[in-house]
Amino acid sequence: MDLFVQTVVNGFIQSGFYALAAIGLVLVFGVMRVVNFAHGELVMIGAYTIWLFHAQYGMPYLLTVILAILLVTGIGLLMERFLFRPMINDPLGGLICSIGVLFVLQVVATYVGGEGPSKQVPPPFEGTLILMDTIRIPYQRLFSIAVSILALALLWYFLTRTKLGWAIRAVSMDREAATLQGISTIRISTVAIGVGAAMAGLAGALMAPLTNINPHMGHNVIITAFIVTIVGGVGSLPGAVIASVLYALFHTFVTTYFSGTIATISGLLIMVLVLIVRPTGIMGHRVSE
Amino acid sequence: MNSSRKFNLKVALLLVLLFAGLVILPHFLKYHQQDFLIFLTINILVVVSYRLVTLTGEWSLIHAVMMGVGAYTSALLSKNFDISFWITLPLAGVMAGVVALLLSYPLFRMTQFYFLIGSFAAGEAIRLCWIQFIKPFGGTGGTSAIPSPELMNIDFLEPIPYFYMVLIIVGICVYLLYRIEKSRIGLTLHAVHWKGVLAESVGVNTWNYRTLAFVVGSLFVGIAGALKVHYIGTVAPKQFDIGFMVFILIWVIVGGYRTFYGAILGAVVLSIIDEMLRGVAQLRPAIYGATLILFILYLPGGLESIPQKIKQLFRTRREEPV
Amino acid sequence: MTEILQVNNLTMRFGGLVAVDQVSFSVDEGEIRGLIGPNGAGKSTTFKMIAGFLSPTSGDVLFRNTSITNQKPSKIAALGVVRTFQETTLFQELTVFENVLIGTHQDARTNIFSAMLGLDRDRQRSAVDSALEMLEFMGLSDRREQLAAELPLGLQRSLAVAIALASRPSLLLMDEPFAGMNPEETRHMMELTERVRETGVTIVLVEHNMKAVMGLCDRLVVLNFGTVLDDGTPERVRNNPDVIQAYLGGG
Repeated sequence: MDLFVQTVVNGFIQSGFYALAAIGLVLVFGVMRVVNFAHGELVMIGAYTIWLFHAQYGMPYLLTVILAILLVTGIGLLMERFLFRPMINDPLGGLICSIGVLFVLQVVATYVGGEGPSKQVPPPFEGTLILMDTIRIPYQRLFSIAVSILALALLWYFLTRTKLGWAIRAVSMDREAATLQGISTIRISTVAIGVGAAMAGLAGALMAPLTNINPHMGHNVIITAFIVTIVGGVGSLPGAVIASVLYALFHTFVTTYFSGTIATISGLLIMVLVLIVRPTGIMGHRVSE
Repeated sequence: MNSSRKFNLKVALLLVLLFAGLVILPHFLKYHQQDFLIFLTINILVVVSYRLVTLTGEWSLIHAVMMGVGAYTSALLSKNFDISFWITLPLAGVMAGVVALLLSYPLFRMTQFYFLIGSFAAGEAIRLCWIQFIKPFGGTGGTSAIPSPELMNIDFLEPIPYFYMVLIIVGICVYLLYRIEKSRIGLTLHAVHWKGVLAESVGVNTWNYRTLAFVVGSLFVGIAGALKVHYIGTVAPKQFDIGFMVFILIWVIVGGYRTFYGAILGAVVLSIIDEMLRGVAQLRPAIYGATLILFILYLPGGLESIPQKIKQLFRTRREEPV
Repeated sequence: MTEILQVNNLTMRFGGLVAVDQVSFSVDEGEIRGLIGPNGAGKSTTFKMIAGFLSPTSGDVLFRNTSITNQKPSKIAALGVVRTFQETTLFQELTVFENVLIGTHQDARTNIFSAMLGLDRDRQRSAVDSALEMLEFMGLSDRREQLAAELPLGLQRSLAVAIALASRPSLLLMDEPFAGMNPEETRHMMELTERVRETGVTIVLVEHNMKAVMGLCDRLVVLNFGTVLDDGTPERVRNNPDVIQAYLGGG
């Protein structure tokens, strides 16, 4: 029973990372119809920023979190300007470009961190919160989930309460109609990928003290983000968040009781199943061709 | 008709030259270069079989895993059941074809973006199974001590004999794939790609043709997988991951996917460049990545379009480029 | 005259909207049958259901007394019912000759082993011959090496018909063959259609252009709001006050 409750708690905490990582993918696909394969590497760069500036150079953790967000946002904006924008009419071309970026970023990380074993970042927040004598939540994880929820809430506010956010949603629902209404899709794309990349950077920064950092960590991130995106419904942000929570719980449970690999295999199978049975996902709308 | 015949001749000539060159080449090479040559030859079969899959217009991300299916099939059968390589090699192809056939039912319900992601997910699930189920696959480390082919007294542990065997088998497979593309089936696959509805209206069962291309392409890449692991002696999930899949994509895109020889050109040129970058191994992926981006942005037709571009430069401006 | 096609109580609902409601008519072997009606009358929907591109909510389509309802388009085409497309749907990237060659799919289809080993050579040669013949028949011979995309509109329509005919249908369904054509092109297309019929092919055409239809068709079905308003010779239909009303009222 204790293990069960503990697993639920772990699952919820995990869902914050999933949601942050997936949201960028959803945003970029929504407004530009391009699958950013390098999205996992954006998260990876976020984590490396923490390792380099916090763990190596001793800068304060919170400062490096902001630095990670800024850095990754910058990379995202560069990708939008020089790759996705010229490729706007060729989604496959955009995807392949993003694969190119993936390689480049992995090499950058290898160059910065050197080869060898994965890097660890000692948790800046030490200690563990113990609830009801049995449930243990390290403060670091508590901090992560709190920041994740805050960031998602801010995003939610931005998308539903501001004019710019409204425009982003309009473009991701129907690009042509939005253009006809005078929305500048280029500007919207820039904002969307900026926000998405910022979230990815934040996800990486939050993950850094809790995971093994290496140049290939983006691979698992992108698989998770794909699963969450598809299950939640391509282009649907609330769908992605709900799917993140569900999938994180599912994954944590299967990992705890069976193994991490089985958890990912079943996740992938669920995703294929969703693609067959309900390509629009749990919350998605039909994507106009 | 005339233009296409001339074109065939050009391709044939290129292939013959390539073949002749490859026969004498290994004797001038160092040991590790001979290794490289074997892998390059196998990779030619990989890209050419991938080309068949893409003829219907769907870019799958599962081709590398299909290669692995063939590789594991042949490796495990020959190691655990002591079956001869000459039997497990075709079985590798058959197994990859069967797996492709089974996967075609769910995957071909999707198109474009969804197909791409779906094929990626299905492939990754298969690959993770190799990691998860240590018996029989061997887990992350894979399975080693895969027996070498046996034929008369030839020592296939040596690179040169193995290379000649690979050259013959790949030569036959590539020729067969070439025949398929130039046949009625190739024409129909083009039809399915460019206007599926119209093809359907004159009686083409588009689903069947997509499946055909997928299954046959997988079959041949399964053979390529077997050829590869019986040389290395080890089969592991890492060999067939998304990273390798991306290399296949890069070869095809940099070479060009409008003609049959484009993909081969891409695989050969990039592999040679890659080999020359041995000294800066760490940077190799980045150079690959940057090359890919530059080609997509500035030479979307790939290497194969260069001769035409040069021709265009010399041509008088009697017609506006379309 | 034997009936080649029977449409029985064909109905199509999209959500709450009834696009086609209990439509029935039949087509005789060897005739040119027109399917006309004002915009939104359900012509195209009916047409697509016959060719298998839409599944009807209820009702039945019989070809030579066998049901072809809910069959895949490729299956229906293999049985001999082949459609053309309203817009210029062609293999734009291929040559005119290759376009027609694809049309010969039924006669030239081959299996993978024959393809690899070249065992189907005779078959392919006869497919090439019949494609060339078809180009000759449609007056496209001198254009055969051109890309389909480079043809003028009128010839693109001829090519579309050539592709369909190359599959040797017994029933040809033509979707607005005269749409967007000038009088010259229209007359050419009418002659062509007449010549196709003379080769023994039965034709059903959906058309908006009243004048072309009156001169060409043996019998007409008039649809309005998804139901059959009238069915008979052009003479009879032309003098039916309901039909006149429908066309004037519908604009």
